[in-house]
Amino acid sequence: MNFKNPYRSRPVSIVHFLVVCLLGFTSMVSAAQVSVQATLGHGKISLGQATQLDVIVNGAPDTPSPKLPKVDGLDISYMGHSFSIQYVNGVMSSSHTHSYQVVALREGTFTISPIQVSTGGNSYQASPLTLTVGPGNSSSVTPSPPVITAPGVPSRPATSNPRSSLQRGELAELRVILPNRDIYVGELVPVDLKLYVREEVTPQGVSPPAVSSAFTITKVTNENDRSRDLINGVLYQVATWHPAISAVKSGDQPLSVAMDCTVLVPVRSRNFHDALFDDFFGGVPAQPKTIPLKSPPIQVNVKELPSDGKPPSFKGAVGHFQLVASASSTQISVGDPITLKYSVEGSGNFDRVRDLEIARTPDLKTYPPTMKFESNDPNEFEGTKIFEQVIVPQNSDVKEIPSITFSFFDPELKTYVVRNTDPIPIHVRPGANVQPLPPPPPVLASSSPMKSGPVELLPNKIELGSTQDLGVIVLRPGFIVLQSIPLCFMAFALVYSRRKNRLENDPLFARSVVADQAMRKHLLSLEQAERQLNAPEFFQAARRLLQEALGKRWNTPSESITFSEIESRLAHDAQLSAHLRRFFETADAVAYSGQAYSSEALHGWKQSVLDMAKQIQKGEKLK
Amino acid sequence: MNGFRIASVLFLVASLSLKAASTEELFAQANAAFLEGKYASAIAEYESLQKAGYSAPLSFNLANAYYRDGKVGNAVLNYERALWLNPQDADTKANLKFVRRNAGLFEPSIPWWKWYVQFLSLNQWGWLSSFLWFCLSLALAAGWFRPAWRRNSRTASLLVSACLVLSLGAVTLRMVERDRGVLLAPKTSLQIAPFEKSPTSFSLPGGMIVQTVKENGNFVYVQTDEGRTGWVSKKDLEKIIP
Repeated sequence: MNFKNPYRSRPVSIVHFLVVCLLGFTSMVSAAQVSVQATLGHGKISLGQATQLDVIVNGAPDTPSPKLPKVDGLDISYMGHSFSIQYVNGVMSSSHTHSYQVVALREGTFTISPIQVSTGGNSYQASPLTLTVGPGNSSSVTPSPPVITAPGVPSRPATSNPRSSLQRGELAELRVILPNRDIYVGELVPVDLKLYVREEVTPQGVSPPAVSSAFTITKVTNENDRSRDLINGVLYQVATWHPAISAVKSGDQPLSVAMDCTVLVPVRSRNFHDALFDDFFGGVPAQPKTIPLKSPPIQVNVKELPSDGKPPSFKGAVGHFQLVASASSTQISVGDPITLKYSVEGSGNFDRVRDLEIARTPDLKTYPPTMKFESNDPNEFEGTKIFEQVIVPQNSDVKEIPSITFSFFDPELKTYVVRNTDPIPIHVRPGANVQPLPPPPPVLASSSPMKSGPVELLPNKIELGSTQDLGVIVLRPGFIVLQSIPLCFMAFALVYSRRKNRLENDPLFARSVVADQAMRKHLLSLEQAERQLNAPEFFQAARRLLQEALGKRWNTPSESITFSEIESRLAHDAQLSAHLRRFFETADAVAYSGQAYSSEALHGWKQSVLDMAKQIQKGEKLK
Repeated sequence: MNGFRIASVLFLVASLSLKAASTEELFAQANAAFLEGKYASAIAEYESLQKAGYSAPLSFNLANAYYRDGKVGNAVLNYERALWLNPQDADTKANLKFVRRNAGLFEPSIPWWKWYVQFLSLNQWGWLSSFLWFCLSLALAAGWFRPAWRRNSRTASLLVSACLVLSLGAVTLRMVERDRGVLLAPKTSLQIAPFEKSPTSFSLPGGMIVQTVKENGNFVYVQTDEGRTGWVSKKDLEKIIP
């Protein structure tokens, strides 16, 4: 049960603080006469109610909490300690009060024997107390509680102790209801677990259930069915869970479930004013209380599973199941994988439904199956367990996937049932060369760490494969250098594309590039003519070179440049103009006369032409 | 001179073939020893082969032999090495799962966002990243060389860049795995400090994979998947990537 009622804690810290502050002051208080007094909030209460018991020690500087005697039928628990000082007519006195909560567990008259208090080396005693516990709210007597049968549980339930404590008016009780039939060892049996709690107390929560040693029980979730029942004239809240039990021993076994239930028990205030305030401010204060509960034992006849007719494939499954098999494909080539799917559907102990797989054969390479369980039942009693196994045919002789056998014990039929899947016909086409499987691995020695069960370790490889080291390639210098190639390529592509764009879109730049190319070409011709001492060719090449340089500077076609244009444009640079005039006059003379020049003379002219070309491009003056 | 060169090449090819043949022979001998149940002998032969280089089948067989010899830690170590070299080998995955299940070891948990990392080994991711880097440079250059291709180049560059980011992410995550180690002893004590007589905080089973963080003398500071940390002796631990 989940209950969200908050439990209000008292502001005890303030009280403690004041006590500490007054502690030194109390030493001044006279301890002339010590007296002990015990009082009950109410001398008469109803069953299920609680009252407060105070032990008041007057005149003692400090007292430990006294230990109260145990009283059968009452539950007494310590609540806390308070301290007070009084100053009357110049006389100071102090008192310590120890408070207890007394809960009535059954009807009757109870006597709480004298409570002893030890302080200052002396022992003091309070007078005995009497508490009368009356019946619950209702005085009418009704028949025993109605029988409630769990859904889906046929026939008479095995439960309802006729001397149930509910009839005696307990605060809470636990009952377990199970089908009225013999059960088998290992069988999972759904049961109803009912918690009855009296209406006036507020349930807070329950602990996980524990079951008697011959049984196990599934988990109890927070989900439960809630209802109210009137039993013997007393109204009860009822929470019902539906766990499942399983017997682990055969024979007549007592079945009993135990759990702790925490409830909030109302505590009535001692005097009228407090009670009035309680009612005015929204109810009676309550204290938490944990009640250990145990259901009345039920004798259950647990039978062993019969040994007659037990099939070899039986692995402990008890219930009712169906088996279905399917293959992902039936038309394949040698070496292709097939995924087989086996579904076991039904109800029972699914934890024993296991090891459902095709055995390895020389013709079929198999892998360990995967397994999953699908169920909406929190007890995992009903659902479907699905096994998926990958198999690989090793040759084209494989004609079918062999059948799988699954067996279980059906408790309704009281016999073993064997389910077989039909062999699944497949067509395996011859494929690429497939290495034959190595012989199956040897049986493990007893010292092997492998536990019992089939040998599932896949066999060794027969091909060594290419060897390498385990090093990391990305950290090797060669690999890192290799990554610079795309970087260089991208840099080249970027520069190339930008230059191409500029050539297309910037005519000045394009003219400049063409002029540079022409100048390089004429320079080569000039040098060749110099080597051959061919003066006419030399001066022709030099003239073209200078014209290209001037054309580039002035952004005009080099062929159309005349000397008169040179003189007019270079009027501001008389020295360069004079040099150019001298060169062009010499070049004209050589062209007409065919005059020969020595190597040194041509070299001198070459230097002069190069200087002029440089000056034209940079605008420098000749020295 | 030419005759001498040809003879040298032939000699080299012949010596390499002989070496390959002898390696295959040794591998077959080790397999035979395994099938005869001589696991210690098989382990010795597999390990002698491993000195020349690792291969996924060799590590797989060595792991099988170690498992049969009752050494779960060494078995897990070599299965992990086999998976490092060939992450998609179903046989290795199946045997590793089987060994872990029988030894009561949990499968290391892999977050959902890391699932694709396991498809390839670190070196394969490295080569894939390198290939994508080349492709990206080609895609960008194509757009620069031919303005008409610029639109297609941009789309291709974006796609390749996305793949490259994923691939480099996988490389990074795989690089972290280089620091994983396997506990070899059947029971390894996780100590509070790197001293012989240091108190023990936990005991871990052999075959468990831990992340190595730092070293101090003969001790390694490790962290388990569950976040437990402590020092273990170097002799009880071997890194998957030595």
